[in-house]
Amino acid sequence: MERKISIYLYVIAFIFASILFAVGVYVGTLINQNVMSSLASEIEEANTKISNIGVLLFLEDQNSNFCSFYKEELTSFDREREKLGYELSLMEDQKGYSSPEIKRKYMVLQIQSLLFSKKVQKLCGEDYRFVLFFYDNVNCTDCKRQGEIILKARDSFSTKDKIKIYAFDTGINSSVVHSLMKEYNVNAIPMTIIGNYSYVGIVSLEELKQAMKDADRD
Amino acid sequence: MDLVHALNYFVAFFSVYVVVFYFLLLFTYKKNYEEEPPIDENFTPLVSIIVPAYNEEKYIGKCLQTLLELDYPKDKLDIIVINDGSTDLTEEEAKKFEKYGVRVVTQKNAGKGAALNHGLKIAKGEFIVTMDADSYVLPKTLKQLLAFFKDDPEVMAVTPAIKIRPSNSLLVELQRIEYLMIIFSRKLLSFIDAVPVTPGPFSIFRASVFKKVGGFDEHNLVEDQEIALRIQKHHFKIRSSVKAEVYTNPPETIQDLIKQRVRWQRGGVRNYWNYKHLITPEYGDFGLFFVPLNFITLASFFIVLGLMINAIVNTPYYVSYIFIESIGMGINPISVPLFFAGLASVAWLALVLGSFKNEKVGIIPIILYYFFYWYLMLCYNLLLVYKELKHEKFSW
Repeated sequence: MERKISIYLYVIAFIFASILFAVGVYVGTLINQNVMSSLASEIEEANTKISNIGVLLFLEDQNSNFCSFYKEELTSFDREREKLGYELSLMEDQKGYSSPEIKRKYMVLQIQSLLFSKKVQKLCGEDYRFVLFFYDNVNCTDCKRQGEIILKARDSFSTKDKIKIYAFDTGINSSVVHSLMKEYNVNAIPMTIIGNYSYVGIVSLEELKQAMKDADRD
Repeated sequence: MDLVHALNYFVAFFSVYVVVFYFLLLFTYKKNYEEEPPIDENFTPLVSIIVPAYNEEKYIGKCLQTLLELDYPKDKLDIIVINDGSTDLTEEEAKKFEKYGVRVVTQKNAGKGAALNHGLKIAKGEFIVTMDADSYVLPKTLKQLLAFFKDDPEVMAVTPAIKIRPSNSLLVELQRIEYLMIIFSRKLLSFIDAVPVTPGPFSIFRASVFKKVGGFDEHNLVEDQEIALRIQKHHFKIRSSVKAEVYTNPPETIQDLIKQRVRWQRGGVRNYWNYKHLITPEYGDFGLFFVPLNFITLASFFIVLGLMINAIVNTPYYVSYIFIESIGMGINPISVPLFFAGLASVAWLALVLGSFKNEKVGIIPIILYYFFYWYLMLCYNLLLVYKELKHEKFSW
């Protein structure tokens, strides 16, 4: 029998499949853009909220009458901030979608929270412990693991709201992150800063727990 | 792009491509689909029907009864039962039909391929039909199948439409849907000369083809596929009918189904591997599309499995904090094309089932077919690997 090769079928199928595939990926990207823009507006709202706390903090520089208000606001703000951070990471890690611009805004949000929390700590004698984590999502294989260990260490405390974690992506072009890196002498990643100590690379869960426990004594 | 992304994209594109290809195949040959050669009442060559049987006491009586009721001159029918050393009453049941001219031969247990070859040796017919003892045929089927040979000497084999009777058992209904899907796609594949199997229940061959390509492989788990691949290798035509009906009894328990399918899958993979040299332009669409499709599909199963495991193992710890939010949050962009492919395959299912006017299928089996039954393939493939690694022996 004379065999035939239905080249036209393969070619047309390829063209159709490519169009369908491209349209699909495009629709997927649109959906994700939509998610990202709602994340961006949530970050904007959070920024406004933290700025309001900030204004009050500066106006009432030495007045500790507002301490309980600050603490309450900061706790609920930080919960929201962390949630936004996880959502941004989820979009980046799992859905393959990231926006450096939104991430930069998020970094500013973190820095504001860090500064104000430090101020509240000083003014109100609040027992906060700060964990600064510098990572890179692209060129760092240990970063994800270390990030996970930090969260696990934090979760082992009953007073976990008082352990404030700030994660800074050194891979995005953010001037505030860069100045923070200078301030803390970050020259390697992953770097974890707890209290006055800096740790480079993977730090064990036990060591991190101890560092978080000891941080307030420094 | 890392390996995980690349594999994700590959599987998604491949799924979309295959679905689109089958739709195009259907649109191209839509007109030919229902056309089958007309029955010629005067074309009544001698036909030998070989019924290999191993422990089929329950079914063989009905099988032989329907063979005797075929709308065909009785003196042109040569029915041979090869009892492959059954340990039950298969031989006694078959011998009840000797008075109607059925020949019953008993051999030492040697397997289905050997039983069929035994039948071929003593068959007198110009055409050979293989018939599984657990199946039964409708009166018109033989003439409908013979019509394919009449005007085309290159046609060496024709496969019938193998169906399952409606049942109250959900598992049987799922298989019934699957069999209808197979009838449909096999017919489409026949238009590009890519029929890959001549199934045990009532496939018909020109007797001369066995002289040209040899008999059945006696050491094969799915000898009915191997013979078809060999016929393809020799560039002979295999045609497929959607009208000539044969009914078969499918496995009724999930264990039996898994056992049967792992055997098919295992034998199938081995056969395609042995015939991988057909992947050349010389074998047309069969070589360039169908044989590679089997390998890629198998590979895709394992890729999907790997991706699933990878996704579970590598779920970041922080996801537990936002588990509820994460469910509705964004999507992996390639899941949209996969969703399209899924929708298209639902349309395909509806189209196929709709084409069988007399086959009514319930909505629950259809849903389960889509969301459960198909995923059993994953289980078959895993067992296939396990058995291959264990070097488990073949049996009926």
